[in-house]
Amino acid sequence: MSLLNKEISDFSVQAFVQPADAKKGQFRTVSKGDLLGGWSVLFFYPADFTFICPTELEDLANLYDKFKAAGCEIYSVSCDTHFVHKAWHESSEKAGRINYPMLADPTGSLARDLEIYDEASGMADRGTFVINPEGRVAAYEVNAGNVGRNADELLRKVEALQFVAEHGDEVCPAKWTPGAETLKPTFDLVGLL
Amino acid sequence: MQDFGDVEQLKALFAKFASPVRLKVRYDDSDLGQGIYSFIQDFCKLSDKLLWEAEEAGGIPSIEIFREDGSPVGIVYHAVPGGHEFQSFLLALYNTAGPGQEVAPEVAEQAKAISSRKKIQVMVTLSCSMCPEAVTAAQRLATLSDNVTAEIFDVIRFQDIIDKYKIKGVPCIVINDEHVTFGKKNINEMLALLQAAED
Repeated sequence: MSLLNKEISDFSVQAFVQPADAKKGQFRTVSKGDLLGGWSVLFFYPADFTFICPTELEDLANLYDKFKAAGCEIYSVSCDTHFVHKAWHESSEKAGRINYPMLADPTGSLARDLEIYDEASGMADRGTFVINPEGRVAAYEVNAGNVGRNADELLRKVEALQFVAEHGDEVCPAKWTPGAETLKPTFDLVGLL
Repeated sequence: MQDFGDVEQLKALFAKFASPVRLKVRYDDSDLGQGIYSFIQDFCKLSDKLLWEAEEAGGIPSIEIFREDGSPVGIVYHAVPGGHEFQSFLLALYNTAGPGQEVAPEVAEQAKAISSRKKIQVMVTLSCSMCPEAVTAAQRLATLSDNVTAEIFDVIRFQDIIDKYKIKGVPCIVINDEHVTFGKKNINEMLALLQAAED
């Protein structure tokens, strides 16, 4: 069954975060309430200290300002503890550029809630979930194995979802390819004159 | 020859025109310029109340609507007015020729009371079913007020506008280059946008 529109379950996890202007990172608690009222992305990856993860997370870090400007918070999530997040952030050049909160899900409860927990390995699959201000899944993708994700495309998707949420019932999606068939004049003046 | 659909219904519409209208086409070699030229050339054959002239000119290709006496109404299409916009175009001509669509007296009064220049730009696609209502509202207000102009863009052909206003859906309505709104609008809602933009 699709997870679209699923309301995420209550959660409360530890996170490591080092804002761009801070010299040191800190631990804090992040819960469902932090996600409500704004747009957010939960960006799952298997584990800290691996190869593809920092590349993806760095891509996302490079666009973090744009996500923030769009009113969207980014949360990376793995089944490591927040202590491991801290250690990785301090030891990896790429991970060190991450300024968004890194959520720790060592019990796998968040990953299980979104059905991407791999029981065999105890890790999360590469799942990306865009959560709307009501706490519901507005879009998601899950990639097998080591297929990396595209942060630009994620930003485009978030902005498009926000646009549709605001104007969806009164706009037509822009189809940017002109089609000859659309040019045939149509009209019905009954009742308009 | 362009297929305009139900020609009898069109003839009945032109028969209602209180006066002829004038269309001025500015065109160039682009697809849009050529499309506009051939569309209007064929369209104006439908009635002797449709007068037109064309000028090969620089700038954005356009169709501008004038009253019989040559005075501008303030309505310009940067689009081939086909697809769903054919209807808004026909109504723009009818509203220019008179007697025009009925308007609630308070709407007409408020439109006339608009005290400073208001440029309404409506970005559409020709396949958009939400757009004609916004275009019709904009052009009706232009015919009611000398301070209001309505410019319609087939936005597919204007990537710079798509980028500038981050357009992900249409209609997109921009007042005086700064007040940006999305979504279908009836005449009351369009009037409210103009009032909100009053200095």
